[in-house]
Amino acid sequence: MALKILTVDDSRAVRIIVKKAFKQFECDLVEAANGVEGLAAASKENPDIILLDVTMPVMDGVEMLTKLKADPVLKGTPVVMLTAEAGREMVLKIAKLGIRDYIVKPFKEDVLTDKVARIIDLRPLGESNVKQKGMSDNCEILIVEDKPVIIEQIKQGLANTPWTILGANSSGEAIDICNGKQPDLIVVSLTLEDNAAATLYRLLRANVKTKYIPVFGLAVKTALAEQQQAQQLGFSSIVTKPIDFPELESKIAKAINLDTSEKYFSFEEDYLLISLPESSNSAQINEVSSYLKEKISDAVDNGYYKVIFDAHALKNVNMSLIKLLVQTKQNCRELTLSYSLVANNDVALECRGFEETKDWVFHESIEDAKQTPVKV
Amino acid sequence: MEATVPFSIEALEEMIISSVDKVFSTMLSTPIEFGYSKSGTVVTVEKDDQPESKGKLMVVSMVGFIGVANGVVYIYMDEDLARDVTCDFLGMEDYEFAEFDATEKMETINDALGELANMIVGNFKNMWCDEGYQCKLTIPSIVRGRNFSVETTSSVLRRGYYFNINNSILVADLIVKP
Repeated sequence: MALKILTVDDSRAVRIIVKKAFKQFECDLVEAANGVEGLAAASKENPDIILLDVTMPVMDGVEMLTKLKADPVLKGTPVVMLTAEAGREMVLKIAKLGIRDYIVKPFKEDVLTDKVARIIDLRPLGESNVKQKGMSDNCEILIVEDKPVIIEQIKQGLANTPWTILGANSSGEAIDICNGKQPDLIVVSLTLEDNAAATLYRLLRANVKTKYIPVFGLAVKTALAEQQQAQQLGFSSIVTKPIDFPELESKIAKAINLDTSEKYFSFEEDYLLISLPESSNSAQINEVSSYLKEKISDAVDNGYYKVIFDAHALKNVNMSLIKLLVQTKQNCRELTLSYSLVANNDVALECRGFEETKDWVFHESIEDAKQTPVKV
Repeated sequence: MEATVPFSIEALEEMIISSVDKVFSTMLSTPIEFGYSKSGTVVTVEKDDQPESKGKLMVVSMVGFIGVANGVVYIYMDEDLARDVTCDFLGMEDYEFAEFDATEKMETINDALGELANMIVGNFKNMWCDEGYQCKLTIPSIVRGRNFSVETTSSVLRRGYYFNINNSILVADLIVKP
């Protein structure tokens, strides 16, 4: 359920500005033009926070706040005063009544949203219901590194992805970029001067627009103290140099919740093809496993009757792979789908060494599997 | 004889300029600068000099402050500038404003300029409050018209502060009665 923000201000202009400021966040705005309307709206809507003006006709903000604090149901609702009245005496008087913050007009939209975000869990719009991005969708990765050669290396290393890699040479430049369009993920060098990585991390987490962006730390493998400090601060993950790019790609995909299934699953003419890359590690096998049930169900749902598991590129077999093969066969059997396995001789030989797979029939190619599917 | 106030003319000038500047730089993207060139001379402060409407419709928003100190500030601008400032202030595109009917246009401008004046005068009077001159703001009001003038009695101090915004004039007309 979306958060509710009640803005109580006699100025329609201020209510428009407040509404505009929160347009990009997941919340509903409720408006009231004076204290009486504000109290009625608060009772009816039970808002998560109230933004309250001081000088208003009918009932002013001080009176409304006093009545709010006397109401057993509403007294806990956080109130932020938003007013042109900022004389010291007035501020002290209002502070005694119990408010969470005080914003003096004129105000920057960012100041307003930041202060509110410190009190309620304000999230950028569409974060929960946006269509999940896939591996072929563009994502923006910001690299904050004072050595241009490293930024270039990362660009080269991730050149096989459709991602846009942005570079920032300093934390100031990174903040400027984030103030525009927010990247999907940020990688920060932990060796920036004057502990700038930690400062940047704190700034990113303090800003409502960037607080949920995953932030990776980048450090030399042996720089354990830097890595430990970053982990303690709350960095989402640590990437070590020299960079293992397939691993970095997986980490990024996981951190930004990319749908990676298209790397392994594809719907062909009349069958679902599951392919494993040559150097499948256990993380990748787990990834395939996590999509398996859903994809096989989709196959049935879309009228496919055959599944071909292509493991011919694999170099070696381990227990996680055997489990995956068994799991796939089991899922196919449950939904009465045909199941064929394509493997090279090495994989086929190794499979004979396992009790669960010793009797399996293997095809040499996908073409072969397409012609003679094995009934499960 | 002109009235005296607790602050020097220079201090008042600084207070009003910083208030206008703060509100514009925080709430609007259009730059504003103090001083306006009239007939080749840079005009900054003019006593008892009404802004010239030159036949254009003027929109004047005013907010007063009452208490230990009393006064009022009028913010003058012509209709075109009032529309531009309103759109900028409310983050509205020109086409959105153009879709309004005549009444909605007038009400939107009134709301925006009333709040703008409220912020400017609020900022100005907060400086007085911090120096011990407690006062409160009055509700904003708007005057529209051509060839009109606001007269005052002789017992007040009055100063007009000219600002340049997009080559148009905005005047903050300060009237104080100690």
